[in-house]
Amino acid sequence: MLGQDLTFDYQPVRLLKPSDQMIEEYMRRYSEWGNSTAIEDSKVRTTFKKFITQKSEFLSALDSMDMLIYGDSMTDLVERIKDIIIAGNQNLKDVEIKIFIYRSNEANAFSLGEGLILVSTGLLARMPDVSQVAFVLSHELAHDAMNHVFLNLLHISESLHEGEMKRTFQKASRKKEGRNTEINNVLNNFMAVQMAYSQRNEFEADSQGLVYFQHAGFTLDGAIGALGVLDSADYLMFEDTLDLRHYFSFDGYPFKSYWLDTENAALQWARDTTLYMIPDSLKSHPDCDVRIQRIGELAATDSEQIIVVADEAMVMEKLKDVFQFESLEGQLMARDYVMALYMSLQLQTLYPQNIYLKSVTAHALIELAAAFSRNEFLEYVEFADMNYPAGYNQMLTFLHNMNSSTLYKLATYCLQDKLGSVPGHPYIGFLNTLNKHKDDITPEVVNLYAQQYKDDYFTGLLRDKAKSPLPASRK
Amino acid sequence: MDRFKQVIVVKKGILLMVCVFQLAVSIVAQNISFPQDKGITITNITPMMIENDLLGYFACTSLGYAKSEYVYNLVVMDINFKITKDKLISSTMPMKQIVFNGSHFCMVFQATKYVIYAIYDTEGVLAGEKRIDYKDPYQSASEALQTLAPVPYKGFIRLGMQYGWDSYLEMFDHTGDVVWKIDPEFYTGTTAGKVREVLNVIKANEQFLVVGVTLAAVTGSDAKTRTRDFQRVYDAQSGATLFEINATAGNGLRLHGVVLEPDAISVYGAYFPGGKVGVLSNEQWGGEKAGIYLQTYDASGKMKFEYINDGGRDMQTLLGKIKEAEYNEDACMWIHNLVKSGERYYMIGEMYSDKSKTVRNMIALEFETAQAKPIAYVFQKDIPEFGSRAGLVAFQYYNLGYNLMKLGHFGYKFTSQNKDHSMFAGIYTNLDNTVKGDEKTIVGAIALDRDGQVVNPKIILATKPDDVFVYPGKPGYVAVAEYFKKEKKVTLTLHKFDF
Repeated sequence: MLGQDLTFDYQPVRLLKPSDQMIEEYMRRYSEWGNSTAIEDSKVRTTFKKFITQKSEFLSALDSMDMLIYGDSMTDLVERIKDIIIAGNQNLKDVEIKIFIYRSNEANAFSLGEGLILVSTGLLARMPDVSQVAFVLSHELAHDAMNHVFLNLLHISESLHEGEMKRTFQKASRKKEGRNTEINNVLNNFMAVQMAYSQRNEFEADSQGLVYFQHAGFTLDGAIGALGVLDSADYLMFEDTLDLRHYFSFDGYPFKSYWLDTENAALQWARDTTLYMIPDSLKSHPDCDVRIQRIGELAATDSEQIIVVADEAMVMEKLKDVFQFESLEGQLMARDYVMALYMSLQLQTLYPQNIYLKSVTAHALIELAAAFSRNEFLEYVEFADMNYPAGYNQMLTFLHNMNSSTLYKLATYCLQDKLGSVPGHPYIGFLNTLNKHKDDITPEVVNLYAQQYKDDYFTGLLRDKAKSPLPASRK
Repeated sequence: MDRFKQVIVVKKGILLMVCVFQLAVSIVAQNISFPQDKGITITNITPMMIENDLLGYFACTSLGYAKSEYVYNLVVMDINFKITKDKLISSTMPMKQIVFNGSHFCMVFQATKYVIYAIYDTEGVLAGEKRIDYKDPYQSASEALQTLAPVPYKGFIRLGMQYGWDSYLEMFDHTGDVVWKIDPEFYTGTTAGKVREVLNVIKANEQFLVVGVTLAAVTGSDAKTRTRDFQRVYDAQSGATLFEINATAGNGLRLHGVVLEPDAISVYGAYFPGGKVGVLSNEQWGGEKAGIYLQTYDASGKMKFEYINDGGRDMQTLLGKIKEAEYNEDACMWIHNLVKSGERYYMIGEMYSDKSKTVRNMIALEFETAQAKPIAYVFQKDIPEFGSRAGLVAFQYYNLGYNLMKLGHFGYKFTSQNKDHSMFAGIYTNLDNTVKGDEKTIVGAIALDRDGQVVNPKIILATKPDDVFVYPGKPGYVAVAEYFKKEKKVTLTLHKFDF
């Protein structure tokens, strides 16, 4: 993907992913956790195994949705940063560590145990500095070294079967008045204990990660910067409203003012915000401000031999927007067409001529129109919410003022006016086929496309649509 | 749980947290669920509607009796079913009813010898109270159960109880202070002896109060029989009488509804030429056709607009172009609602036939204010029979539509309209019988879209519930409650119409 001219087009790295053998190997290792662990209590052991199964299924699901990326220049970069950390820490040299990047708009990284670390494209897109990524990796390496994933699962499994917990729960269940509130309190108390354990582990990982980080020659400001990014990363990268008239006004189909009418998406009452707040005690991670303060207190003096990462910084700068394009591709793969539409339009403010972005816009419109026809629109399109940024709420408002015919029309005009002059492009060909045949994709249509464009990925998407036609009554 | 809260929960998290929270985040946008500990179920949610405007929903549930107090949980939800307020309200007396007027709730608590009207705002803050004392416990019990009429954003109208035929209307504001009181007239020296008025609130807004008046003789040979019905319009600010409307049986006019607009009142319903209201069936009526009417009055009581359709030739002119299958010649119309958009009126109705004992197609009539003849739109649907319902055939022909409506034979449910009234959707339910043995529930809409076109979008439910109940949503949306007997499960799902 390095070397692609983003001003013109973008080809997502759809084929570079972990091999089936790799995924199977990790699933086998997790399965061994469940089988070989020396838990005496059979109920605790059964619960522990269930958690392990969920863990394997999670990895398998990410893989089957093609969300994982491996063997590309993004993974190469992260692997190089990891190697720098390992080079500075003798005790990590014999540990086998693998990093998969996964497509997601969220800023997230986590250790799955057995040396496997997952880092999201959303996190990489938000971190402008190599040292910030290095701190995140150091933190996750610390989780792995301290076996936190295993211990966390064991802790919650044991807690669930602890006698006192069971008695308190049964006592609450027997209450005649206020039973629901009592049960809720018991569950909240249980979660608070689990979260306290989790938060303690996070502090430990920060502390140990900071040691790895500084030993590798990175300076404290990188760690503080990383936590600062995570602290502000609860929201989308793009928050501003868009000039939707610019994107959706055409000579033959002008923009209609009611498309931005907020009534459909507006709330009628002032919301009691306290009802929706999650207390700090029920969060898995401590507040970032507290973490920043703690690492400031724990940090040793920065090494005199500060590591130079000029090459990595240069690659990172080149990949900065690629991370966002891959996040966008991830939204499409996850069928989050609203987010894909929103991101594609936001990225068009940076790359107004990019064919891929314009194609994603048309793609999202077609899929949302089809969802409307199937009475599935609200499964894809939420209502505006005070917790969402203004730009995303504007997008939701716009969509709530649509119907399937308007969405199809907008897609048609996008394809004609914005992409009509691009010949032989497989993505545009796919979209034209989709727009023409809507929910009636037949094997003949698929074959015709395959012959004309010879593109396996989009042929596969069309084939999937042909395989699951709608029942006659839903057409 | 919404998308961004999910991010907060699982952000930077290890897999364990994903496992623990996966139940909490499994709610998709379309399905609606309520916090278990609030006691909210789909059976105790009340839509907060003023005319056709949906403002939200509320649920007021009893949490039981403890420490000499009845405890109630008032939960207010916005139009997306998200909780905006959650308050505990306690009283030494049990609550008998709760009414919303657009800005305030009025809760009626009943003690042995008095009734308390407690007025709360949407924040759950007590705005005012009103206490009515009685010597007789039966009277306090009776008053607590009488219809409490909301006056949008201004107050409430209660029906006060006195001995015998004596009852009175009284409006109070949000602090509980009396705005006006209307005592019924008492006539003497009529041919029927002494005649008393019995008042019944039909509709009120901040400008008008429309009351149904029944004149009943209380002495003489006709004692306790009604002598005349009509509607009287009062000034809702002062309680002063403005004028009378005679949408009455004597004139052959069966009142289906009243719409209050700024400086105008419209009444609509069925028209029975000749006023032959005593007959039991269309057959007894000699095959005469029932028509429809619409009358609009200005604030002084002057009739601004009238449309009378005699059911015969007029109906042929109106529906003549409609295909035979869609219009049954002997069909009457029950007009469910009259909606105004811009300068146009739209009647939303449903046809029924006494002859074939069927409830028939949906109908919309579009009126240009200055144009005498409306345009008719008929929307085909499945035709269920009502004849098997015991006793229904014995109702007077004049009241057949009313009884079909009361007994739930019609498919129509409600109408919702947006704030600027540029669009509306009248919702009905029906069955899709296209595949025998695979019937599906249809939720349909008679809707005015943004381009001013009358359209008929439908949602075919993919599920097969044993029972379906439809809640008002904002225009274009509908919340469908489905009951699955075998699974003992009830779901509430929000749908958006494609228009």
